[in-house]
Amino acid sequence: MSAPTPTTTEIPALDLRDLHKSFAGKAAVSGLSLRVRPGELYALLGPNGAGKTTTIRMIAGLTRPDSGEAFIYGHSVQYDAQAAKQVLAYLPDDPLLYGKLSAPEYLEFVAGLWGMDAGEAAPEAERLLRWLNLWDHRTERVEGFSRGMKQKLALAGALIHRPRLMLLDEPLTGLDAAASRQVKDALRQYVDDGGAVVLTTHILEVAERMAERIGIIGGGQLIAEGTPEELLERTGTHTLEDAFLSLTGLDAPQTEVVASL
Amino acid sequence: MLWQWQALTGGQRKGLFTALTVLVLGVVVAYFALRSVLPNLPLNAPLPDVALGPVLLVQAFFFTLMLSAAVRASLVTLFTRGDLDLLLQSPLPPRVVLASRALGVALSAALPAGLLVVPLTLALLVLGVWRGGLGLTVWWLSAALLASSAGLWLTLGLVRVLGVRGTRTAASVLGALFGAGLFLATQWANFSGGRGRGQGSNAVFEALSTFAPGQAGWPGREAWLWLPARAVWLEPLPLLILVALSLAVFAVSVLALTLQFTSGVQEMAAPEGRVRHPRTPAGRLRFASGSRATLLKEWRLIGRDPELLSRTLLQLVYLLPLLFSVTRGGGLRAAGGTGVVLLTASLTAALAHLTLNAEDAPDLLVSAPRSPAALRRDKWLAAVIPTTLIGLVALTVLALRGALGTSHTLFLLPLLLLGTGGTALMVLWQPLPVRRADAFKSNRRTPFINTVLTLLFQGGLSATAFAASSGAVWGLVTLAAALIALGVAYSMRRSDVR
Repeated sequence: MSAPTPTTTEIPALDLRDLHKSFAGKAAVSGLSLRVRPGELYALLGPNGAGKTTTIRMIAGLTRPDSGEAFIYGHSVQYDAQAAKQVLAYLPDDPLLYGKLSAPEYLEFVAGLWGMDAGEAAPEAERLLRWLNLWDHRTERVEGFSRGMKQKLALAGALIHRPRLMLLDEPLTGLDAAASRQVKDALRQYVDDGGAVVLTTHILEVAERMAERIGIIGGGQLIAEGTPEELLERTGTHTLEDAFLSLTGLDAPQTEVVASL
Repeated sequence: MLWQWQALTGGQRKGLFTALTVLVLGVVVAYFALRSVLPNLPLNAPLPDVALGPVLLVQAFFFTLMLSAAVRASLVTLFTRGDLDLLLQSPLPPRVVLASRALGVALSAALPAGLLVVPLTLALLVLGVWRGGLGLTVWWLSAALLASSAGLWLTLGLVRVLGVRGTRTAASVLGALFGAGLFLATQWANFSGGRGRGQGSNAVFEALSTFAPGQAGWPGREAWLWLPARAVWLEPLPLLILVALSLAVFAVSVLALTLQFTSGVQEMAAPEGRVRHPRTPAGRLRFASGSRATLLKEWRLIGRDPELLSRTLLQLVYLLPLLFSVTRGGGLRAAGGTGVVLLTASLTAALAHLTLNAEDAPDLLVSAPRSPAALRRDKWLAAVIPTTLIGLVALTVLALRGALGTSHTLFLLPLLLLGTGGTALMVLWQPLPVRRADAFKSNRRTPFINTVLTLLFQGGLSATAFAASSGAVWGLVTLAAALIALGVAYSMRRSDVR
């Protein structure tokens, strides 16, 4: 079976076309389509169970869609998986690392998986470890790392092979203020250098401050999309939190509950 | 104790209950069967001199078992239990915290030996041997206190030298060796080469019979050496000394180790991985690429797995008597070749189970552009290369020492490769991958049919190697059987690796 090709002349970093996925007859993602440009940070927001993680996992090739297609820089995730994965990095919300390895050993393995030349990977690993303040811990095993250190190492693993698109599922969960700032700075620099980022987060302030565009997903469908300003204008609200609650319909019941108290 | 009990899985608990029920029934039946004979026997007479030696040896075995359990329990209760910080921050004095932990260690040390001691005590008491029954119980508890004290000293000392991880590895290996000690002793006849079973047993019996007070240079009955054996038969003075000694040693240990315990916890307990390990270069990084990076990762994880180390050691120890028993007729020529094929295949199975079936970051592998087939090949190689190299070295040594002829060695080489490579392939049949830490958990047993096919394959190859030592043609039949077993197992491999 030949891979379908995108129809537009500009190749988007990510192009989702009518993705569907059900689990046990219940739709997790239903007809989701969206595009992310190179050099753009796209925040995917939604309430719990909205289908964010399923979407991310389908893009990363970890979950097979029932129908629809995902393209990464024009490469079909389903039919041209290796080329798509070559330019992709996926960082789950709870990264699973190898506890018995040290940070450089982990990065060596990841670089090997992406086929990087050892002479190129070693200095890049050193640069990343220094940049993320992990260099002084390079002789320690990962099992002794704090949550924040593990998250930073996973980020280093995602960055080491210089991906052109990063999928980040709740990348700031469990990080302290300093580590969170470091990760945000790293992402900003990555996007400024031309990389594309799709991130899911429950911290709306992060999405508001960092994202060029925000997609709000509910019931497995994209219910709103635009810049933070566009979303505020569309909902007539003053904060992204209010806009989010308004768009997802989560504000009404809570207001009633509060009123009944 | 509760923690130990909770550590047992459902199957183990059920097995324990079944064993205890069978034992109680057995004792009751034995009592009624012997009821008429028992009153005429001198069951509670003082223990004769000739019995002191064997009793002392059995006590020594139990004590090593308790010591090994105490070291493992010390590591867990002193350094890795989650509520330690809370306890040390509470108004309780650290000495009380250590004392309570040390009592926990004593209970943990008593438990494995208790599985043998408690039923034995029960049997002795039911049969009217009250001196042995009561004395054994008191000795068991005193020995647990002594073992826990020794375990605490040993653990804190080892942690100081080796770190928490190193001590855990050492404890696993020591535990495996202690556990295998009794088994090896029972297999003495198989090790004793050309001598018959009866002669071997006689030699052991003769050696044991001279280990007695006043025999073969050993001191008399009143010496300190025999004190534990006399205490177990409820002799008042030895028993009193033993109980007082164990309580004193335990109390002194808690008092003396408190400071070291609190400073040790602060240094090492929290993030155990922060102990530096010297193999990682301190200067500039040097990486390997592609398949070599995967192989290095797998070998590092294998080398840092204390459970695998102790399991491998046990596997080799338990296979040795079998090997010598089976190949006794053929001498070193048969034993050497067969042993190399069997041991390397068996070792490969353990390694392949870890490299191919256990994976801590499956999402990382699936999201990488490397093909699953290439990854599986690397993981397969990671299991096969070390064991094949071990086998090659062993065959070379045997050939150089003249134990194997050139043609015999050349015939064994493909068997070695087939044994290691084939065994690793058979692992692909097993259930879905698990996390590395869960790889050897008892509730993740290999399917029965896979066990049978693996045994057929490894047994068939070993038999072929044995037949090759004498040029027997029946070796071709066993080789065919091994190949069929491999083919069947491989055809039944998981659908995701087809």
